[in-house]
Amino acid sequence: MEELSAVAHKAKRAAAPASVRERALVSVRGVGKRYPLEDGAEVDALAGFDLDIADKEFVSLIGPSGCGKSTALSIVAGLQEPTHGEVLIAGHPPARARADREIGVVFQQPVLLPWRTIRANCTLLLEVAGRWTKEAEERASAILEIVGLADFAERYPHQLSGGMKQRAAIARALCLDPLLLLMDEPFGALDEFTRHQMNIELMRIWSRDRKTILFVTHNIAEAVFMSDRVIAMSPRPGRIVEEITVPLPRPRDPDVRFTREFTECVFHLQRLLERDEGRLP
Amino acid sequence: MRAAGKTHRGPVRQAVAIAGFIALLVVLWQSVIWVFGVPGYLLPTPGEVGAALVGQRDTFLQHAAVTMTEVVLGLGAGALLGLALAVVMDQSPVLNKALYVPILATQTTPIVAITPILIIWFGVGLAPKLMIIAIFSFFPVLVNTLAGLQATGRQMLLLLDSVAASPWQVYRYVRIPMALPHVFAGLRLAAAASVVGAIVVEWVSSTAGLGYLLILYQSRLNVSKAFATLVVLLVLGLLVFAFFAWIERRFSWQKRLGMD
Repeated sequence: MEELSAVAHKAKRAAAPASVRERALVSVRGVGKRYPLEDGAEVDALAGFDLDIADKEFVSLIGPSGCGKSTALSIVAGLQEPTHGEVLIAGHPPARARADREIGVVFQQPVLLPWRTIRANCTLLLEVAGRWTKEAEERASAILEIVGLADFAERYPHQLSGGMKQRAAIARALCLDPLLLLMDEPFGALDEFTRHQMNIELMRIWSRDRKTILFVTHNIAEAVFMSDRVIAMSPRPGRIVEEITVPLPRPRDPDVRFTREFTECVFHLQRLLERDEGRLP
Repeated sequence: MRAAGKTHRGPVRQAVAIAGFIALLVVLWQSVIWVFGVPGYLLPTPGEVGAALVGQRDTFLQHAAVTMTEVVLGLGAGALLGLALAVVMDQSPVLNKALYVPILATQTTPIVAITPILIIWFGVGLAPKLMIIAIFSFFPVLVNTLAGLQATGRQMLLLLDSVAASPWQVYRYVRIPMALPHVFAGLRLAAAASVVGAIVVEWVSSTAGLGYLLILYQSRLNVSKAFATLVVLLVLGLLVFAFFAWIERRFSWQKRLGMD
């Protein structure tokens, strides 16, 4: 049954029609999230959020704290229910995608289990999913190789650096072989140098094991360097203010950051978000 | 791995340290008696205590067995009660709130005061004794296990939710192992508390056990035998403690990885 649905997914990917909307793997329509406050008032964490993500596309959500980018991500993952609107992943609600283990998530903290080796951490979700097979084991080894942790597979998390732990968290998500990878500020807790290294790493991993990625960050350069499209968001209520397609060719060399196109892109987003800050009461 | 050599040497070094400390205490004890001329009916010499231990060893062993049985059964019941309550209170916030005050009351009420009532209700047999010991020992297990079960971070729970893990899987793969170091800490405290509980209950009503023996020797002003009883009691407490330390070394990932 599982193989069949995997084949069906592959077929769908192969037969993708031209227009972005039709070949969208993820389709978010009019999603809003309203939280009650303690004084009885309500706040819109997210309002009128529309987004289509094509298969194998890398899309980033950026914006200041409180702009609803993490809320949007967790609604796409089905970890939160939206107050309005609808999310479809490969034509199904997120609950179905979660049950099919088609969603991989990476958070700001690596959240590895300290009593499991790196390898056992990477296979944790496969075990939970009841997909712990010989092939899965081989895939896990291959992915540990890709993320550069093959030599550390039998180590424990406390023996690894922050960057390595975060790579293990990415490997754990990739081991599921999900259709969609959701990353919520995955490098936000790392220092600037490690962050940049991880950006290059992620690009390298992505070029070898191409997933559809929704990436949340507040670092503009990081978003521009990695994404096909960058969605800029603004708070109160959390909403999309602009969407840009990054005009940089792939594969992207780290030196692309010193090109005019890159700098213009970053400046544009920077100005946009700063202007938006000024609009605050 | 790094600490492998150290963990092997650790127990030996610890044993030497303990023996040295005991020797120092004995020397100090004997010196105090010599220097200040403390009379034997107030403080016996280490030699007299040793002689009492050897001379009465059958009596001590017999009564230690009674106390040990009470401790093992009472602590077992208390630990199970603590673990069960922790799971229930972790599962249900309503029960958590409802049970909080009654449970606290069992710890703030002087146990000595309710022991006679339990004896009136349940007789002088084993049952009320086990109840008292369980009341002494369930609390540290409950508090620590509950804290341990809630030690799993929100992101970890979201991660499991992202693959639609069942509540049982969340317990099995993450929350129970995460709670283990806390559970062990609770068990160690409970072990100490259960010995205290056993002695208290034997004081109030008993015809056997080290607590009974202690009262008996005190009433006869037989200080060296009372002290010998204390020594036996001390060893018994250490045995229970060592048992849990062994369990912990055997089953705790934190110990295994040298992370504590």
